[in-house]
Order: sequence, then structure tokens, then C-alpha cells
Amino acid sequence: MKCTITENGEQTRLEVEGALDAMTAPEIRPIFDKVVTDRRRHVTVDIAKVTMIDSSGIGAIVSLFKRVKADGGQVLVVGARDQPLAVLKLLKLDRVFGL
Amino acid sequence: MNVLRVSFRVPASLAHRSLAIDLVSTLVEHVASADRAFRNAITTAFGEAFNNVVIHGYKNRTDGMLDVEAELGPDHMTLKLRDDGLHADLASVPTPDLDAVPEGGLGSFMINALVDEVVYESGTPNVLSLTKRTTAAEPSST
Repeated sequence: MKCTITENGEQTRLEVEGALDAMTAPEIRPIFDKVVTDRRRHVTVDIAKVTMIDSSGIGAIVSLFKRVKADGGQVLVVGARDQPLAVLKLLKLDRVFGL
Repeated sequence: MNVLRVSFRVPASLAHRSLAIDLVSTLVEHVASADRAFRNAITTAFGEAFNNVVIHGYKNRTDGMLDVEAELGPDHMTLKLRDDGLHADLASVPTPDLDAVPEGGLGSFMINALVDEVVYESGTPNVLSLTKRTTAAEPSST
């Protein structure tokens, strides 16, 4: 798993690559935590290059989503396709995340 | 009906999760009528079951093994996962309220939602059986 962070003014873009699962979710949570502590309020998570996601990966994104939202911001998830998109739809998160 | 049975054994650790999922994904190629949605569903359900065995079944253990037996038919796939870890009480797992956008407690829900049949027998070993049928199987099953 790889996560590339791009900050442009108030916008923060997190591009995630590879599997986001029980093995890798603990690696990405500190990155998400920093987004929250830095009070970034316009966050986009690009998962176009995520090959597989599981409930742990979903949990990490939902945690980010809730904390940013609680601080008055918003998180958009973009680029989902194939298995990740199927999981997001199963969990009714496609509309929550603005897909 | 030709049915093929294949078994493999992997260490029950998250480091071997992707290997185990890759093996299941490869086996799906031998289910004649399986499409991409079928592959996504069975591999995702298997991955959640794998997580449960590692995180809950073999909690605080690093020596656990997982035996997987796959039954491959032209219109279905059954995966039997056998482990010697703690028993799981799947019936006690509450159904998540998806409208509340929960962060956890999704694994068992996903397993049940993604496959057609889930059977769990606690014992030595514990056996979790997941069966997924293809859409081609549906007309003949009615």
C-alpha cells in the first residue's frame, strides 16, 4: 500500500495504491490522523489504484470521514471501481462518499 | 456435474492474507460460469473470514494455521476454512446499522451478504463453509 499526499491551498488529496486491508490499514491510519490534526477540511481520497479493500480499510476511511465532518469539513472518495466499488455499494457508502 | 476439490494450507497471519486471496482468486477461474462480480464477492467474503480467523480466532497466537478446501463446480464454489483457534459466535454479531455509517463490525455482515450460504461449526477444528453460486445456477435451482 502506498499513499501519496498532495496539498493545494485548502485542498488535500490522498492517493492510495494497492490493497487497503487489515494488513495495511494500520499503516494508513497515522496519515489520516495527521489530516485530522492538521484540520484539513477539504479532503479527497482517490482510490482508483486500490486493488482490494476490506472492512478494515473501509473502517479507516469512515473514521477519517467522520472526524473531518465533525470538524466542519468534508471528505470525498473518488475513483472507486471493481472490487472497492462493489464493497462501497454493498455498505451503502457510495452515496455517503459522493461517488 | 464435474466437481473439483483443491486444498491449501497457509499460516494464519495477515502477512499471508494477500497470498491466500490470490489463491482463491485463481481457483475462481475454474468455475466455468463465474464472472467478475462472482470473483469479487467470493474473494471479499473469504478475506473477511480470513481476518476473523487471524484477529479473533488466533488472538495472541502466531502459530496458527488455516486449512482451506475449495469445491469447484461449473456453477458454484464452496470454501471450507478450518482453524484450531477460539470458537466464533457468529450469531452474536449484531447486524450493523448501515445508515449510521459504522466504522467497524462489518466483516460478518459482508460475509453473509456476499455469499449464498454460510455454515459455521465450532469444534476442533472450527469449520466455516462459504458457498457462492453463479447467476447461471439460479434457474436450475428453482
